[in-house]
Amino acid sequence: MIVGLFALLAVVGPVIAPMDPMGQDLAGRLAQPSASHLLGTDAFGRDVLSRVLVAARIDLPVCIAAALVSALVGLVLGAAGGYLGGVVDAFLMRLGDLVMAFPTYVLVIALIAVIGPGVPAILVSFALVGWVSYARLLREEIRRVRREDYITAAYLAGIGRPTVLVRHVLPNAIRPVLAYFVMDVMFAILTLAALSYLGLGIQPPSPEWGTMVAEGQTFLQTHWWLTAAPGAMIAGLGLGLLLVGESLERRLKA
Amino acid sequence: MKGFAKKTGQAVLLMLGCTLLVFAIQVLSGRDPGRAILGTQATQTAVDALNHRLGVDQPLLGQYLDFVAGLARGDLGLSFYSGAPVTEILAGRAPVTASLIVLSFVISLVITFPTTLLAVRNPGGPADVISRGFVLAGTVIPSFWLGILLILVIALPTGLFPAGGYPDDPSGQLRALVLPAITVAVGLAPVQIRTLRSAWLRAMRSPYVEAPRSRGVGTTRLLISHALPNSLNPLVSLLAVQAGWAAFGAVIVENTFRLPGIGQGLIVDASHSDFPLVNGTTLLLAFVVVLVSSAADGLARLLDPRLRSAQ
Amino acid sequence: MNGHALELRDITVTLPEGRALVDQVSVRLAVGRCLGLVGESGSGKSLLLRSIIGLLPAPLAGSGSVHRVTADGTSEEIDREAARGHEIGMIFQEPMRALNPVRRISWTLAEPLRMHLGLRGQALKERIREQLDAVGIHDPERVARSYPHQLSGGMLQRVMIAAALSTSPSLLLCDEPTTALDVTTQAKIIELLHELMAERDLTLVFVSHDLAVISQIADVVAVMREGRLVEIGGASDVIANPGHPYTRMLLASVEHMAEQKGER
Repeated sequence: MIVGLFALLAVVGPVIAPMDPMGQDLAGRLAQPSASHLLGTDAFGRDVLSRVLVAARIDLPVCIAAALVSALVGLVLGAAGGYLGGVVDAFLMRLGDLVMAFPTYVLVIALIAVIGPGVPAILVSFALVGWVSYARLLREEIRRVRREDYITAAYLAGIGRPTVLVRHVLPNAIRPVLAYFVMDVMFAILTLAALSYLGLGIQPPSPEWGTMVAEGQTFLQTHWWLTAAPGAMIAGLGLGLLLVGESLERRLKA
Repeated sequence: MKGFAKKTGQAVLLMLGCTLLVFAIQVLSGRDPGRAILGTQATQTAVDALNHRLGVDQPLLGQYLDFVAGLARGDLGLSFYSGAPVTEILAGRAPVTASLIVLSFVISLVITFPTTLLAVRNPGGPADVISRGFVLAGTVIPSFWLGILLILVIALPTGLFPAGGYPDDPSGQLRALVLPAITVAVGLAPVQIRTLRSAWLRAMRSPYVEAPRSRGVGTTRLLISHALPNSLNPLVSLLAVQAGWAAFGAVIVENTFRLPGIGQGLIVDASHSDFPLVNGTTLLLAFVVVLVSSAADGLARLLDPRLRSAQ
Repeated sequence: MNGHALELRDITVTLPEGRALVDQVSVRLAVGRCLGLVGESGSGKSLLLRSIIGLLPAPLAGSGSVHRVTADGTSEEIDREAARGHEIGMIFQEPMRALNPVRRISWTLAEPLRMHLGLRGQALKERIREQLDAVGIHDPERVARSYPHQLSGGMLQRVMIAAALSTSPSLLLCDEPTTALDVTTQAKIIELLHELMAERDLTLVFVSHDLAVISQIADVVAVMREGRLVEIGGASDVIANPGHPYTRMLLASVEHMAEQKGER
């Protein structure tokens, strides 16, 4: 429900936004919330409500894209590990352990700092960290199918591994992967906002929630809503995704 | 001991891998440290001279080997920006971050244990529902936002804790760390609660809890003396993993609360393209994480006599 | 105690939606005797046992009562919650899982002695030693110091019996206590239970799907199927001359299994 609302927002946000999110009105800077600006205006006189709404259009697609890239890389590597087995599998799993054990997002900060901020850097760094869980999920599924059907698997392997993968493993793996995917988008939203807050994610003047929180922080004592509004959006969307992800997981177990 | 050797080997590999990765990306980024330091106004000769002095115009392999050789001597090089030794700069920042992370873990566990105890006493009851609400909220509330919220509703109105900065006296330092640590802890506690709750409930259904129940032991004692010691292992493993998250959380709140730790430094250094410092910071954190995960292994061994005697 | 009896009245265990897993079971058993409860898995025999001591797993609800009946016919209801750790003790199917893996044997044995008898210090130590001695453990000091994973299954079951008997209950519930043990150990545990019954005037309710074990220990055998008692009688009668077709079937399947074992 909540997620649907946000998705809708991402699509129609620009239409229902009462003002131009980029339009500056230096005379009307830092206005209190009022009938014309329901959430007031920021330091450049931009309408906060409009910016908060339009930001969904940046955050959501970027995060879905980030999760998609992670999923793609992870599934390919997981399939490689699960099917080829042996050295490849062992190497990938150890690599995964290392990535999971490391303060990975600190590394991401270092990387983004060096590559320079922006959407490509975000996608690359998220994939660098995110592939592990997908690879593990798929690998487990492949191994399970193998165990269940170890006799047939022997000759199925002769038929052609890719065929087996597509016909037998993917249909089973798709549900856990989907459930995890939703969670992953949630983590991506939180992480992207955090990176943007640190000035390493989406760059101003694009409306993005984390960036808006950072900008609003300067005026915290007098204009708290500049910070509160985008933060609430992040938490709201995050909660929606979390609940969807959890209910998918529950349905999986049942 | 075999496990320990393996772990150490893994740790060394991990750290070497990190240096290589960070190094490679510096090179690929094609950024020019001399230019980054001196700014766009400086002449090309001045930039070249600086680059020469920094050694970044040397062949890459040589640069990397120099770096690793220095590392072996405990020398992380000089900061591009300030010229001070990286080890000295990090030594100044590390205590702040270390105290912050330790305090965060302490607070998170102080939240986790009583909350989970109340939740598992009556699964599905009011306390369980409230703790689940906290878990959801703690998962989705961005930590930088929570930090700001705490400044707004606690630091500013009451003045009990500073809204930012880090004084010189120890008691002031502790006060300066409280709100940031709470912020990080609220991010850590939800996963701890989930992990501990499911392990605890599983233990409560086990025969070694049913048996003492048949001998007339009450629920609270069953929970604490019988089930809890058997539920700690998953939590301990989780804490090792969370060391990495806590490091990320520390980077964020240090920026919110303007604490002069590694995290705030990292963002500044990164914007200066101060590669030796960025590299050193990454390495230091990798080292800390390896340390924490070995400590967690040791703790798990201590908690379970089966693992102890398997040695 | 002669002439006294224990009586289960209308013991019922139901699922939340109302279906009965144990359906109004009533049994009377003379003190100092052993009731063998047999039936296939899912017949409700283990639930009946747990219901006697008020240990039903969470969503299940139990009703009915347990009474102590004297020779002159007066009866007194036993409060089953309060009887845990006093009048009723219980031993379990897998002793290796029913002892806390992170606690020493001495810790496990000390707990009920401290809680219910208020023993401390040297008296406590002495009592633990006596208890281990009473269940035929020859080196009680070493066993008391050990963790469960350092002891064998038979030894652990002896420890479980010692723990269950620490507060001198008059009724001992046995939930397939020999199933997880090898045949020689089974025989020793059965022998120990026999001795303890004789020494302490102990009453046993013994659940097993193994009719051979039941025939060695039970005085009275009750056959359960789908939550109901289908047959009850003297052990030798029921086994030698089963009245109910289901009992015959159970016996036949045991013989069948025995034959198969013989063939192998």
